[in-house]
Amino acid sequence: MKNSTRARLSEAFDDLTGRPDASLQSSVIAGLHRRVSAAEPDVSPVARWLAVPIAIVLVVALAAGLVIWNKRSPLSVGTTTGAAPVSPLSVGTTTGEAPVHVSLNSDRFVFTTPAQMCGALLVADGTVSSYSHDQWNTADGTRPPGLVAVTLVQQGYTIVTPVKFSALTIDRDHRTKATSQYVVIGGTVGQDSWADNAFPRPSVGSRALMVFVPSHVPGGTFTQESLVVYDAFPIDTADMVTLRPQTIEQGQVSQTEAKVPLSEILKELAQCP
Amino acid sequence: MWVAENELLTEPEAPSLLRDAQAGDLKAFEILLEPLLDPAYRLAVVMLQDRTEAEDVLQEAAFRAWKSLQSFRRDRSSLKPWFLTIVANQCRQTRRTRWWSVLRGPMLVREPMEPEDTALERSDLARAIAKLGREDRVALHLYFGLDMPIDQVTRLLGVSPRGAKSRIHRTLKRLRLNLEGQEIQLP
Repeated sequence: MKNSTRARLSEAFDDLTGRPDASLQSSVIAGLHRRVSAAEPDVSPVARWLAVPIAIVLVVALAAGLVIWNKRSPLSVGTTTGAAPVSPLSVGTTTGEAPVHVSLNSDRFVFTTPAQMCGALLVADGTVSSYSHDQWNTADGTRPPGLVAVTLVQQGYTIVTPVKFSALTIDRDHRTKATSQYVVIGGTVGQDSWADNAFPRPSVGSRALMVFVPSHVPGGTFTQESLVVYDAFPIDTADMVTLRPQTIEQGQVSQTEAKVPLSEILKELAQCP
Repeated sequence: MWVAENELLTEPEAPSLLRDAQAGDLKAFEILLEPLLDPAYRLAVVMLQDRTEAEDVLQEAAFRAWKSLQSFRRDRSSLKPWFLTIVANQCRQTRRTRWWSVLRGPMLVREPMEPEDTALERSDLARAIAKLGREDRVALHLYFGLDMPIDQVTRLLGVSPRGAKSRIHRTLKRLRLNLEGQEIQLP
């Protein structure tokens, strides 16, 4: 009986795949010879994946370097407005308990395909109902005393804004612990401010497909109790998700818009390994 | 001519082929590769549902296999699952890339296989298989289509043995439900 099943399925797969073209074998071998003799440099997948965290580390290192540069340069100390030089990180005052202003523009990994989203901790679509008060990501929500901006960045401190959703549909869930709050990166606490243009802040009332990652706990660990909205893709009334917005530079479309039905993304997510 | 998928050289000089290939003998690698191309092509078609892309994947996988052959440390019998794993990974990579190319093009979704495909018309079972989820289809193909033992299916899918068996059972069950009147026995 088993053999009968096997035989029928085997035949069905033969029907499905068909026989490869007779020339394919010679074509593969010829292609192999061309590639080998050309000795093309090949980037291994490991190197490719390592490039992402390395890029992030470089961004942080670059940011930290610019803080120090800003601090030492007589031309830029204390300048956070006006004709200040454009830099990934600009710091106002870095001494004592004076205000801290951090502005980051990180070049980071972005989830843009369902296949990539498969690896995220949580993917969900929902509507933002409200934001709470901004707070530092510390136990009491205040800035730890005695730290300057560069140390705050290096040690993983940041200002976050808790966000609530009126409806949240879970599309992909790898969590092992319950979530107590969702946050977006950035905000203002007292005189301190923190902005990171790479992180989204969907507006109240808007619906979005969101990718969540664990929150960074100062000191080097992560927690699933507080999840960060890492990417947010707007969903319109026709259930179309904008995965990539149109951008216009100097009157020309430099990047075309990419819209995909939410149902297609969910179908892809359902097939995650 | 294509060599049968389960054909493995048994001549006395066969074991040295792997050593020669690992030492940089491209001809030896070709001889090792030839019997693997048929199952590799079939796997790629099952995963991508596109014959042209499957051929492209084969080209790339052959080159990648050559490049990483020196790190292959098992015996020759493991060559087939090893190469099929490279093909499967390349298919997954192609699918990710394809998502972007699909986004750029006017069509958002590609139809799986051509509807006028005569092979599909010949077989309701093949049609039902084509509608399965990708990973379910692949699990079934590895086990029944390529006749691979469950431990190799497990390795290739990157799941536990129990997970692989359960996926095959579940898929067979689903096929039986989808195919009215066509009874399929569970393994």
